[in-house]
Amino acid sequence: MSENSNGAYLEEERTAKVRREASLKRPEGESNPNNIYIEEEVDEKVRVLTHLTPNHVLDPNDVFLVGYMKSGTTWFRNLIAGVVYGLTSEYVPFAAVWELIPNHGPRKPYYKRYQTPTYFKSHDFPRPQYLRVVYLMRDGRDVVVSLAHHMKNVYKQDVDMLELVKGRHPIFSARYEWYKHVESWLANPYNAEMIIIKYEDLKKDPLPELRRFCKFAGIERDDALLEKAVAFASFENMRERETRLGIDYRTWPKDKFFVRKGQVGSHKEEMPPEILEKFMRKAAGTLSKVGYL
Amino acid sequence: MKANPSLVYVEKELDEKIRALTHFTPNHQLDPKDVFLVGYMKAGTTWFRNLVAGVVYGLTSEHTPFSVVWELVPNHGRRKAYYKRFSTPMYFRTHDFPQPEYRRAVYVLRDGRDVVVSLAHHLKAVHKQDVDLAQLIKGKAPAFGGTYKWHEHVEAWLSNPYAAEMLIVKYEDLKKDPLHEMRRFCQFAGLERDDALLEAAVANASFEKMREREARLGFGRQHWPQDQFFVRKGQIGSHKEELSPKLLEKFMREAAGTLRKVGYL
Repeated sequence: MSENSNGAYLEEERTAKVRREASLKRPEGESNPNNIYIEEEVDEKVRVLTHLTPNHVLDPNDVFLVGYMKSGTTWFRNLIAGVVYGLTSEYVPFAAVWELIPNHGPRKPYYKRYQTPTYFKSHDFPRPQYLRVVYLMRDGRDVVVSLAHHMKNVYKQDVDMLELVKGRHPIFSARYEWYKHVESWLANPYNAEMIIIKYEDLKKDPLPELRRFCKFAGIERDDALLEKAVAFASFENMRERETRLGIDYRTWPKDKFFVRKGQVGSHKEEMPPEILEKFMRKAAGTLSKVGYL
Repeated sequence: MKANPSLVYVEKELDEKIRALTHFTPNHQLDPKDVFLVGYMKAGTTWFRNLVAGVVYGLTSEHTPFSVVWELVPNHGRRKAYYKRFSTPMYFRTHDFPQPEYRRAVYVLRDGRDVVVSLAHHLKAVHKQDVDLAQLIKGKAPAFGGTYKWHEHVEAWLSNPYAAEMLIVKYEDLKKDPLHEMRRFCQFAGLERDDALLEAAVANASFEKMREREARLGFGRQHWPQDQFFVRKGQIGSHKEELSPKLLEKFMREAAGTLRKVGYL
């Protein structure tokens, strides 16, 4: 740890530089889904020195907790850390949850395998390697509202909700639209074993949803543990832990709550009618198919 | 420039890459607030590490694999080049002698006679060959770089050459009254924890529970053979049955002074 802010800044700069250079070196047509390219020689050394596993080395038994951004994957990650690993204490730092249920994404080249199956979180579209999937679904209208808040906090500038509705944002490399994500997972092109869990059902009555999860994952957990996991990941407790311990998300500003509102139906107050109309033009079919209309 | 105590040398360019790609921290970058759980091998540091993971991070569930404990309360040793910083302070486990960077240390002390017996079992399991107890008593084993004697380790820490803040916890006291010792630990570390949590941590790190978890989930240690229990016996006074009078006498020749000083004689 750098002991002064200047030192910390240098470390951040260096990190950004190394990662930028690595992403530029990525060869065309590489089967590794990482955006970050690591030369074989470096990769071997990293593996020996850290005992980490490259992101593209997965086990067919691994389970992926997938959802479009702001669909409740962070909440679900905390629930699953409780259910699978028994992490239900107020003293568990968020960093431990992120570590045990690691993100599987194109910007994270390594993870630590604590056990098999490993449970990953992902915002990705279907992949041939994702063979067991829990798809988290949330009303797309609430998702867009939440995404606008998220982007505003991360980039510290106003977000055009209309552009978000069109699936456009400077950080999205392609169009990243809610209904496309949902439809591609409903189509399940690689025949993954899959269950769908709705954010709204998880809010209303979490226990039956967690029991479905356990059955799907093939793990036996008693209701007492499930209840503890639900309490651990309740909005109030997560917010309290965020205040006391920090959320430990590298890109998240320290002066904002990541655990923001966690409500159902925010779009009714926060989404202007003309934007809602634009959203519905493309997403209404999907919303009605999955029961939100 | 600060000397890097790691035996693993990593070139600067590679080191920068590793840090950027993994968000790990090099072993020699420590915080003055970090706490080191120190003990000679087989003095109970693995047990203590589990207790501390329960007390500090609330890991008290039968579903938490040992590998999580090893990661949250990482080993600080010369063969390990990086660690992940989950919080500040971090709690590290180490078998090392005093180091200038170890500013806050909990020294886990165990009767050296039991330690030697336990160490013989340990080395036999790891290296799959018989161990010469007479050599161990001289502080010699193929796995040790130099000599590594119990009484030298204890004396080095008692002399506390770098004036670390320090607490001594005896294995035998921990066995007898774990709650009391964990309250002392909390006070030392500046943590407020209620007795319910301490009791849960003690229960989860009991010999029976640790052995059951080892059988069910594995031990999650790279070098430990999977067909042997790491959590072997955890008893006080094993040397009375397992150390011959002749070997005991050899051990006592060097270690009796230290044993007496810390109350084992």
